[in-house]
Amino acid sequence: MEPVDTKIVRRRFATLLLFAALALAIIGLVLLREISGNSENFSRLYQTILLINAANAVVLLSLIIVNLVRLFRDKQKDVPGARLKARLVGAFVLLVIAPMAVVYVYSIQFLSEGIDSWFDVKVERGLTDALDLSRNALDMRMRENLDQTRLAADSLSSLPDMQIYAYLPELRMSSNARELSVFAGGSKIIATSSADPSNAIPLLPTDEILLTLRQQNFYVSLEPRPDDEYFVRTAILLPSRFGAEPRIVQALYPLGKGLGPLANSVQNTVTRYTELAFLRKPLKSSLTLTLSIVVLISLLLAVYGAFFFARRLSAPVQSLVAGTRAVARGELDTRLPSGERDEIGFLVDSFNDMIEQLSAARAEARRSEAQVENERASVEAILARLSSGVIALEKNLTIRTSNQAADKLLNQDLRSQEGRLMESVAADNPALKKVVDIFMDKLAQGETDWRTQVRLTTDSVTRVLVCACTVLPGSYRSRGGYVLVFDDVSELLQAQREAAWGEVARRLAHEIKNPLTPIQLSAERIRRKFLGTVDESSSELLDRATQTIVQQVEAMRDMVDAFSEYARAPAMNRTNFDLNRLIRQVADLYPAHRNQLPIRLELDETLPAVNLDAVRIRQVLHNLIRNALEAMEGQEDSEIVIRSYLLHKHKIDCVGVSVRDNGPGLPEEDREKIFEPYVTTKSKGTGLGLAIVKKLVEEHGGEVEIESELDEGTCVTIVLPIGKTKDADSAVQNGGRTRRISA
Amino acid sequence: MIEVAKETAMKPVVSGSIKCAGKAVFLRAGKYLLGAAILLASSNTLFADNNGRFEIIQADYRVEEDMWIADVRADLELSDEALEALANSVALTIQYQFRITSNRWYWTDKQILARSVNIQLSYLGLSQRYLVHHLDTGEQTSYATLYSALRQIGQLSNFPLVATERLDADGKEVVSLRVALSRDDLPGPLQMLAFWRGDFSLESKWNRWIPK
Repeated sequence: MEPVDTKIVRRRFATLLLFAALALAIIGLVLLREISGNSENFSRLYQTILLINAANAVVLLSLIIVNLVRLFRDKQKDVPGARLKARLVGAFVLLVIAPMAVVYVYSIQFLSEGIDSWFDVKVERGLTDALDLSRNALDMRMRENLDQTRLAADSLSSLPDMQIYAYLPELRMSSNARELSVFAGGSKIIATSSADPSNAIPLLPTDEILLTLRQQNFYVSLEPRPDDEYFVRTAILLPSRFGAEPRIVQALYPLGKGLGPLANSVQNTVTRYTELAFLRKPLKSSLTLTLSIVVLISLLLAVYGAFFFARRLSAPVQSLVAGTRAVARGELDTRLPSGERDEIGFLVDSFNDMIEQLSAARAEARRSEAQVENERASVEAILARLSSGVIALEKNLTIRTSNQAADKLLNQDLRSQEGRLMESVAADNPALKKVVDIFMDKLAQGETDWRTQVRLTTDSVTRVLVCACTVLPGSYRSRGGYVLVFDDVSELLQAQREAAWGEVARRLAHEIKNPLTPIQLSAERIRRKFLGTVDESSSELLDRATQTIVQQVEAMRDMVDAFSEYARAPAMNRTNFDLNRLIRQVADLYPAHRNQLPIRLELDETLPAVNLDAVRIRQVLHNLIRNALEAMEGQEDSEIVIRSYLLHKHKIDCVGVSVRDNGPGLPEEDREKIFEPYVTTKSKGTGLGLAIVKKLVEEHGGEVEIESELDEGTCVTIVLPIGKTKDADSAVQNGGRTRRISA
Repeated sequence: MIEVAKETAMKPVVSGSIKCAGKAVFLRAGKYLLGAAILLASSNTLFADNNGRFEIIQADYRVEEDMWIADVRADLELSDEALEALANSVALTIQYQFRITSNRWYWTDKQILARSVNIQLSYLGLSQRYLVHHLDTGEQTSYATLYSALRQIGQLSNFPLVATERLDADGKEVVSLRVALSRDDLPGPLQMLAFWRGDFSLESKWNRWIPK
């Protein structure tokens, strides 16, 4: 079952109500017109009609009030289309009221003047004059008839009743009366004579006649007859005789063929005119009332019609405005109901098509945006995990983006500097400035795609970076720019060097060690064979020479062994041991002698047990102490201080061991190369000591750092991960590998 | 001529103050809506000096030759508006309305008979007399004074109401009688005015009699 749209139901109900009101109004007005001209149906229909019209007016008024309130509320709430609807309603109502008011006023005026024009003062005066004339004429006639009756009464006054009866017809005819009667008292008929033989019973004197006669002995009046004629009634009171009841002589006189129709005509005309004149005001009132009701109902219908049509006209526009607002809010699924096949309907269809296309375009844009976002996220993820540093520059050389590796390599938080000029960011960072200078030089030379190797020192760490630059593609939207990529090749170079030195050592060990034994054996054989056979001086020379050969061969073998040891990488054997104890054991092997002070130990007693290869660490300590001793050889008050401590580096628990001497120190140019094989500043030694130290420490995932000042001394510090437990061990190994710092 | 002069003096006269008061009220009422106009129009009677009065003084019923005969005496006094209309040649119809109904406990009363006696009262300007015309019988009489005419109209004698056989006389039938000025017989424009104003609403209370 489809859901019912309440708006449609409400609209249909309102339309139905409007048509019902319209029908009622038409019926009411037609009936009103009908009864206005037909008084017979008035009382039967008037109340019904009035009720219909009143109900109609109430319904229309209610609808108008509801619409007005709704319109006002909509306008207050700034509902789309409310202002247009208000303007349309106002215009419609004005268009309706103005002509209707004019018509109404003129109609009332015309009605009033039209009715008044029926009545003329001259006519009215003429009628009054005619009435007065008629009355005067009739008065004369009545007086004549009264005189005739008086004469008749005089002649009858002396006659007895029997003679009256006989004499009466003659007397009636002589007086031209239609009826002549004599009554005793009020109602006793003494005698009567009538011109109409069928009328046997005379017209009895009324109470009014009797009363008048008692007062003034005569009575005369003009009385209407049922057949629309008039007759003159006269009566004379005869004096009482012989104690009998007084006699009344009554005579009826017709007006005659001449005066009768004229009197009748005057009476009818005057009656009709007087009635019309009297009804003039009520007629005006009733017609005005009828017209007012018609106008009121028409006005109410027109006003409601104004609302109705304004709503119908503004609804599509209202819908369009609402739709536009919805679209502006981003609701692109908005669709307007198709209207009628007119311009507004065409507009609605066009709006729907436009929104359809907009929606499709937006969906496409969203897809593209999502795709771009995904790609951007991917690129960011790649950049974040890239060991190479990347800096993207805008065409105006401001930083567009960079990654974490770039921050680390250049020792600068570049990601917080996005949008700033590269040159200004590099001002306080010598390493970065070096790169920027190269970049600017290349740019000045017109080179945009280049690759070069740069040596940078940051925080006492020297790195060799391969720096590459290329141009970013630009389009009409993106402005292009440049991308700089930095690769830290320090370890790679170091590894290459170490590999090369390892190979050299291995070859040297192989190539030099082989001939050493025959040389030594040959020297010992020569000594054995010829020492006793030659003279004393020669013997001494031989002995010294062979001794020298043997010693040098031994020394060379030691050197070759050291080489082979450097090249060889035996398996790591980690065990838990006390590092302080190991340090003490090693230090005890170097007792103080001559001008040398004993090794001073500053050990952190809270140091936990470490999980390291004890043999390698022992060798590291030996190499460091020997290196320090050799550096201070022949120096007065030479001192070595070994210090152990706990530290937390790269989020890992580590132990640090520093060996400090107060020797001559290292020149700055040698500090960078001191850990390379065969680099030494001493007169004796193989130059492999610190190289081996570095190699062994890095095998543990640790770091070696050297600090030195000329004539102040040198301090070599090794930092080793504790790696105590099995888990920690693996973590240490991982951490060590990833955070290895080359010295 | 003396009688004529006296009768002229008897012509109903409407005072100007009453007319003005009525007009003012009517104009004021016109400002309001239809419903308010109805209410105000009904209250208009409060402002008139002579509202008229119709009253049944006596109603007697007797059986004569198997017929119920009614003798009625009524006191009739016309309102100023009615008098003015009469003076201006508007014929007024006065009705004696008889209703015979049977009482029903389960429903509204059943109407057995409805009869009316229509008497027309008019003023003749030429003769300056009041004409009383019994519309049902055609009988007409004229009077020099309105008082006489109304007095005559107020006496309904020997009116054959209903055959005795039609009434059960079991106490359930009720004879109701009233006398009223018929607004239906007024001229059209006056009817509409009379609808809104109470001056032409002249009617007596219902007089009830239970035949036994």
